[in-house]
Amino acid sequence: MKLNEKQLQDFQKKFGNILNERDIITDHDTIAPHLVDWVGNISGSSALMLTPRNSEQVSKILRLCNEETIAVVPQGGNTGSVASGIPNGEIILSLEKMNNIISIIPEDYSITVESGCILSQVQDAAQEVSRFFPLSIGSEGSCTIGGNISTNAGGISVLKYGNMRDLVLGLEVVLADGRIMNNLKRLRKDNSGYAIKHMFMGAEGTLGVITAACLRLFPKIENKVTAFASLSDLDATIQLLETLKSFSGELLSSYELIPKIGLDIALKYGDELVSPISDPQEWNVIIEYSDTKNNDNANDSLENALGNAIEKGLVCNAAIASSLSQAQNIWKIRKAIVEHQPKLGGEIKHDCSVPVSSVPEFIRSTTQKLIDYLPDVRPVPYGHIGDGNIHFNVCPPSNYNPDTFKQNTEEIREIVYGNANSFGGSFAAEHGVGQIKKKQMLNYKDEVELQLMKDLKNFLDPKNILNPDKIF
Amino acid sequence: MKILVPVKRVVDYNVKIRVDKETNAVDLNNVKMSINPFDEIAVEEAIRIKEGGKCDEIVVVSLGPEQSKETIRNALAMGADRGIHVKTEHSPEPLLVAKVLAKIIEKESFDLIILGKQSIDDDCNQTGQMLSALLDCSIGTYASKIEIENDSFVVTREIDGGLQTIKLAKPAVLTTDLRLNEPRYASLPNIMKAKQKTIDEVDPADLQIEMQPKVVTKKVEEPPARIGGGKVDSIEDLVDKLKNVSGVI
Repeated sequence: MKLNEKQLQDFQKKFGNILNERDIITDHDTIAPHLVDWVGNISGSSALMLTPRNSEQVSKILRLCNEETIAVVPQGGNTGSVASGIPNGEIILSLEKMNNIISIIPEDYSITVESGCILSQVQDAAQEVSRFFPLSIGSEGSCTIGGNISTNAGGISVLKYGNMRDLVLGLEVVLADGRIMNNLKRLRKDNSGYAIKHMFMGAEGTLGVITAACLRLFPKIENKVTAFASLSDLDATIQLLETLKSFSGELLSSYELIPKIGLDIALKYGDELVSPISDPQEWNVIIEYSDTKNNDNANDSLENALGNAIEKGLVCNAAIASSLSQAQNIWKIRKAIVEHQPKLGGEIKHDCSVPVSSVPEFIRSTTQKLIDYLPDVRPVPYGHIGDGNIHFNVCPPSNYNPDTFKQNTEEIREIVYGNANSFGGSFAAEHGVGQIKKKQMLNYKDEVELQLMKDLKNFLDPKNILNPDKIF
Repeated sequence: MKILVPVKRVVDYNVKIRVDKETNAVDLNNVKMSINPFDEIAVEEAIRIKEGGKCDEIVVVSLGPEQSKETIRNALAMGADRGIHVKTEHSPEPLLVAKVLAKIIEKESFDLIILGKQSIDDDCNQTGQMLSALLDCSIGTYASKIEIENDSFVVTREIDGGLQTIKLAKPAVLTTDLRLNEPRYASLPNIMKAKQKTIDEVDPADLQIEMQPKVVTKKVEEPPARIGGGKVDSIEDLVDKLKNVSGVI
């Protein structure tokens, strides 16, 4: 519901009893960046942004909003890909000022933080006490822990450490009626009833506002080995993964697919990037091993596994980074694909997952279906195939009109997500549903499961004041 | 033609350096070590000369502890042919390195010695120059381009305010600058091949060189921490701070 001028002034006054004046923001220029999603496709509107400093304030805000039936959109770093944090007239509830690290206990391998903490801030804090927080995603310099939890973020280390959900020990959540659920426990084991905390993870702020979290830490990584390998064919991607896991599963932390077209994009538009090998093939992977020991163990292990894969004919050629600079350059290729893909005349992004064993067949059949629909279309499937998660982005044929291409968006999305569904896959692997995948939610989600979600939403937020009209 | 490339094992360029107060030295425990980036460029250049058909053998030499062999292996994996490891406890100072290199060159002659212009740990930028003096041969520092013309080297040097092109007679010492080339990655088949390549061990005593340093390190300390800025509430406050805190006006 949109606030009119009178209501706005009225609420400003009421919020003035809860928050300091500087935390009630109506200045258009200050709010503007919070209204556009990171991809830049969707923009919203809001006349008021609140930036509470503690969970008590969040509680009072929600109690008031619930009484008055005024909706809020919780927002972290606003780096999401599905416009889940973009308001459509609602009040923005930004957690950005709740950015304190509450405690870090190395012996418990845990860190407790407010939800507005930037991901890199948590990574650095862990590093300082010789610990490691493994979540690593492109936006780590600006995304917040609250957002990471609310979207159950994934990234490049899921293979070894799991999704954000797997890294959360406890939560503090403010419910729609203002009650504060305190579950900030740093326990590995706690089977006392339902795991309620998991309900709020990946809920995209529709069930409650996460205000603090206790997160798992791991032993510090002392040695990373990064390699770039060119494969004999698409099927070899999964066979090589299996080889690496059987040789040294405990070390393997990343396994990313880089198709030739992606490498070409990176080399053409990226900043002085060179191909790690002289003869890249159609399908390539970035492999990373992480070891808590700083010795030759990880290097030797990766050399052996790759040597074996070359003998088996899975790998044509591979390069292992000999310095951190070379390792960074390999990862820069991965980042450059994300950044420069739109330069192929636009792109239609997809974030889907299929069972790992189905990845090659899924990529092949989706590519065929896309070509049948639009000849010479250029698919760029890349990403976390170690988790079965493919960013199946689609670029238009060369010299194709970008606007005409955009008009095909719905059809192309249907082809990719429909095919993922037929492989038992998901149309929302790590980015969530937000505003842009509500249609797929209706089309592909199990009916009973979807109804349960709606019941749950209705139970926890009967007045629909928390991030309304998102997910379903 | 034979090329000698000296390489040094240093703390990786991307590692944040910490000082160990007890030993009064840079903390090397559990720190990622890599080939000195300028030396890596030197190795790459030698390999390109060989790939151009103008070199028969590339020998890589490193002075340092046992782990320096890894650095040599790294260069062999890039494409060098043979290694020499001169075993020393620590990394010796430039004059000692130059003396050792001169002895090695005395034993088997080289037409070209390519070194990094400096190592990124001590930033001395001396070894190449000292070596050319000891050998009494020509030298071209800060090379950004190397061409071979018959029995001489045409070298473009990066100097203040521009580029200088010089011609050097064989044998010559050249030191590399950053823009000379972009070093390649070691490919896995080449890493495997490198394991079979020879690395000869040399004891400095056999070269009749006493590895006694002439420079004594008195103190190693981190640069003073930067004091963060602050926000002022008014222009008066700013003027007051400028006058009374920073004292600039």
